[in-house]
Amino acid sequence: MSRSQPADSFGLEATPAARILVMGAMLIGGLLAVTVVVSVSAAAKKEKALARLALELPLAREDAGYVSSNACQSCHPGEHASFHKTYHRTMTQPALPDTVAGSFDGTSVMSDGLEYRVFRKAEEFWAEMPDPEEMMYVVQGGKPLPLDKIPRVERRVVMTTGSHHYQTYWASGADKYGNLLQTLPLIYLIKEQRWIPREEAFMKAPHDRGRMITQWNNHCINCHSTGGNPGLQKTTREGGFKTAAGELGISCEACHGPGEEHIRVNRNPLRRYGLHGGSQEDSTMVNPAKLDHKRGSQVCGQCHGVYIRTDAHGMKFAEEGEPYRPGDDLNETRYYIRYPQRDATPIEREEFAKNPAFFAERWWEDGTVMAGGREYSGMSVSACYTRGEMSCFSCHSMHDSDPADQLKKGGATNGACVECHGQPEYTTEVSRHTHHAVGSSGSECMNCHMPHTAYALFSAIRNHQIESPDLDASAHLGVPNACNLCHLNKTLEWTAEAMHERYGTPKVELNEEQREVSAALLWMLKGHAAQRVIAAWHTGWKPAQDASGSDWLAPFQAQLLDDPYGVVRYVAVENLKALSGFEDFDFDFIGPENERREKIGEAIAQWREQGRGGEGSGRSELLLNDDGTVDEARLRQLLSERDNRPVNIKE
Amino acid sequence: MAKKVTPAAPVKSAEQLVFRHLLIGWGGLVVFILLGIFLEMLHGLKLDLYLDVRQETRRLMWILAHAHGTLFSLVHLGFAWSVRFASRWVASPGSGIRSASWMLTAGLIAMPLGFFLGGIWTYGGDPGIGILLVPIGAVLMLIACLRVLIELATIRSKSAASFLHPSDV
Repeated sequence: MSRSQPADSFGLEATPAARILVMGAMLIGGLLAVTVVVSVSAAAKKEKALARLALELPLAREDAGYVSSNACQSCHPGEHASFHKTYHRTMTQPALPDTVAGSFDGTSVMSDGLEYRVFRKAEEFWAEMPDPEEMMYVVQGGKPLPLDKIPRVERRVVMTTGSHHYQTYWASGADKYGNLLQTLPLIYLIKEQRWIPREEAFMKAPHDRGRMITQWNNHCINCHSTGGNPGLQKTTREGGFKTAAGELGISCEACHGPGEEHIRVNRNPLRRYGLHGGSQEDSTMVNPAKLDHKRGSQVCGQCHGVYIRTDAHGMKFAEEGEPYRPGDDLNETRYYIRYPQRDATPIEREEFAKNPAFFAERWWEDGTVMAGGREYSGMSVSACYTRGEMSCFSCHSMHDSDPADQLKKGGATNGACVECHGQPEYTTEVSRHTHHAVGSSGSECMNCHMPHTAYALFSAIRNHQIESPDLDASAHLGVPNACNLCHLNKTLEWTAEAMHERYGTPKVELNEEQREVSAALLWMLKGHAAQRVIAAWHTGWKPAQDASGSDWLAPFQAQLLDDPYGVVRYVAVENLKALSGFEDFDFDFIGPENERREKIGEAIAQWREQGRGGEGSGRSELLLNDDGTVDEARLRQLLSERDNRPVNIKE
Repeated sequence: MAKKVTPAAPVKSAEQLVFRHLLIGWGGLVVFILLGIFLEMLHGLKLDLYLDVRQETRRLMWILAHAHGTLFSLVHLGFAWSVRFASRWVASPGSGIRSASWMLTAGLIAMPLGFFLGGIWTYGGDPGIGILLVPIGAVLMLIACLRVLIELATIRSKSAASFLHPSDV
């Protein structure tokens, strides 16, 4: 038999079609091989980078039964997935290309007069900065040296904190101190995609700052990692740390307890199915939502509260890590600090007298919490908690919620409150109680009983100390109240009248200003920094704008563009830009002082050009003249009386 | 010259067995391809009951039900072919083949059903109690395969001298 075409090695007749097929197959095979090689090499590269990084990071904790969230995933995929979406998980991460938000592009940022330059070396993140250990000695008074003479060093940035609003970074410390992590005093604002010095991100009194030096190992580790152990080495000459953590970030075991024993015993399927079928709880794992409301809330309170460790546990924490485990009584190892209110104990009063600054940084003068992130401290003195059974889980959920606030479905509505407060005046006839229209923001329980009077992260946040508006506290202690934070254009006198008429609240004694000028304006113009930032934030709050109008706000927001506190300026300009016509207002809240001052005039001129003043014209309580212009004399007078007491909120 | 062997005439019981397994095999393919289409539909409609990350166990169980059902249906077709092939040398299927027949049938029901039921009610990463059918089905399938293997080996040894390639027959 004659063959017109020779057979190839595949035994196919070498027709053109067959050749194309063979070549196509080889091409596809080649592409697949390249893809596999590239993927494997990328994975290997990442592994290698992580391995190098691991030498600088906290060690993996091998004691205390921590196993990390990876071990939970296979049996609890849903819970792991919902946890994985949270900002709790990404609170602390190794500094890798996919976790670092900041642009390490050679930018130099000045922090308190010293330069910090951030840059990359391939996949690694670095900072050129004053030697942080030298800085520590100098600032703590151990070495007399001008700060600008501190030698400059290059340090690798190994870890990040934060991933939601902003991110900050940790650089490796000198080897002799173990795995010490030193702060890089810069913050990267994620929304704005820009660097700012750390001191501008916190509410710190400009003339009362001191250099912000922090070591992650003995401070942040407590709430920014799971099962953190500072591992302070008292025995070595230099001290130093052998810091370890169950996991970086706040993960499963932070709330459920160490999982080693749970995994070990549940390898037995008979045990697992026995638990699935029965009503008995698994004794090897804590479910905070199934604890009683106090113990359950303490799981959150281990971080979201103000406390000090008892003497017996202070040094133990530094050497061995946190002794508290979910389900324990927090009060056994810590002392939760309460603001000395009416029923204060003598010890509480003594503490207050000894540390007034400590209290001033965290509470308003009536004892309501001022610093964000201390929600447990606020809630735990509220009647809903002390007399009722309210817990964090009444409104929040870690696994069935939006990661932004971890509010469960309905958690931000009246539904959460009427679970207990089921009387008609709180449910079907709510207007009878609120004196606001059904469905309006004034009929939302939280707007009156949990106003945004706490501050953190460039924002006012809801106070978790659940109380009714207290005019007396507003008038005499300067605590902003819910009514005037919504009715920005009303005086305290107006509020006092309304409260008296509607709720029979005794009338409070007010001074002339409080009777004549809008309370919100008083807080913005002559209040202290916390009052200013809270009032400024409300100028952009939609319910407040709906209730008060927004046409008249700009000239007063503009006065805060030159505020001594960076966070006040930030909040002011953000809310100014939220007004119609100011969307493109160009203002750098950390720009030079003279430019900031000029911008005040610019904003007011823009407001005049737009013919604003609107419904506020002629209303003296809004400092507006009949022609809609600002009563400059009164404005200047209030600004000159500004309360310049130092305010520090470390959030 | 190889001795030509006249194959044993197929007996009725072998034919019945072949026919039964052809029916089961093709019938199983219909059922489990339908299950596959159902799963594709759940993907197409993006239904949380199947695609939500919390339903990972259900998804795995139902995929396994589909895969095992389809594969075991093919095994039934293979079994039918094996019986037909063996009937050339033996008058009627031995007890091993007969027991394998019902074990394969029980296995085809038990394993995919176990996976499917296990996926209906789940406990996190643990499937529902229906999963207990799976090991039963798996053991039945294993024993069935062993029985077939042993039966074929026995037939081969008995007819070693005359065991020719079918093409030579």
